[in-house]
Amino acid sequence: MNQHFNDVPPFDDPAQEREWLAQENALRRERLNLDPAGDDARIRRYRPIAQALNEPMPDGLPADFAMRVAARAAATPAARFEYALMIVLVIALVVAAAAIIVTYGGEWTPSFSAILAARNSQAIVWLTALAVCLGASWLIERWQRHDHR
Amino acid sequence: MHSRPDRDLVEAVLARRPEAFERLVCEYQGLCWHIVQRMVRDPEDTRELCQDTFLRVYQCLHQYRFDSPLKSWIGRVAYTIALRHLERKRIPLVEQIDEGHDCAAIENISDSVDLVAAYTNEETAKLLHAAIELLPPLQRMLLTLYHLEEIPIPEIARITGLATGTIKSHLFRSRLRLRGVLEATKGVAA
Repeated sequence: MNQHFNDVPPFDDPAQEREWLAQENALRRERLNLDPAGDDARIRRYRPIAQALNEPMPDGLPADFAMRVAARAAATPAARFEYALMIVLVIALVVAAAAIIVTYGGEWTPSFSAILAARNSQAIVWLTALAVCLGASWLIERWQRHDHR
Repeated sequence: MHSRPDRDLVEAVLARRPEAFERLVCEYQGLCWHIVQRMVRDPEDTRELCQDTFLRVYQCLHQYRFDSPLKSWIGRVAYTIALRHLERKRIPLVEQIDEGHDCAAIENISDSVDLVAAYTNEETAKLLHAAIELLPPLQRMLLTLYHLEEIPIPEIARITGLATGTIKSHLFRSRLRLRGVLEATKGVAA
């Protein structure tokens, strides 16, 4: 039987649970192809239903469905285009950041030096908090990946 | 949580090895058909949505973390796509539950008609399949996953995002309703 009883809560109503077990037994006995003559009245009422539900459905997908979908997936430019676009954007961002730092970096240096010199400044506190958040995220991701292996 | 063949297949698809994705589609197109067809019913729409499902799988496979069987992950994609289709068409997924009717059906046990013998009649089989078709989309799909695909309730919960108790309740009520249809036709008051 494909039931994992421990993972599925029972019904609050004992009558419903009894009926459920009859349905499950009918399913199990149908799969095992057991003689319905051995079923009790309650199980016997669900045997035709289990039989009908076990009958395979006609497959409406064409015989070459897998081949056609695979060909279409390989030809679809979306994934490759997105990846190429992402690379272009990252390069543009890096170049822009470098250009800005080269152009205005000299004006920012005194401000950064002042902030770093003042040990108890708010900026240091926020930078520390940011570093802790990034570190925690990285550790959690590592832990999750390790856990799923 | 995952099998070695799943991992090998996913890695082959991600490495863009020839025919790997076709193999993946072959492996899971039956599951996809069962989920989408049972929810959507229209064969043309189903074919299109199955194709959308696998194209989505191809694009998002790098996000699969092997924390559930590949079958459940692909089933989840198919379910989400079918669900959106129903929402767009404003087709209700479930219907109101009549608790009183369920209680009456449970208590009513009669041996006056042999349903097992009745099922050998082709007409009765057709009637039962017609009754299955009349169930709400969610219940039809849950019955198919549970009976035909033999997927356990906790795995169906991963695919649909529903609680295991909710799935159990839907399966229970659907089967009770089908029994009622059969008994009503064969002369037992359900």
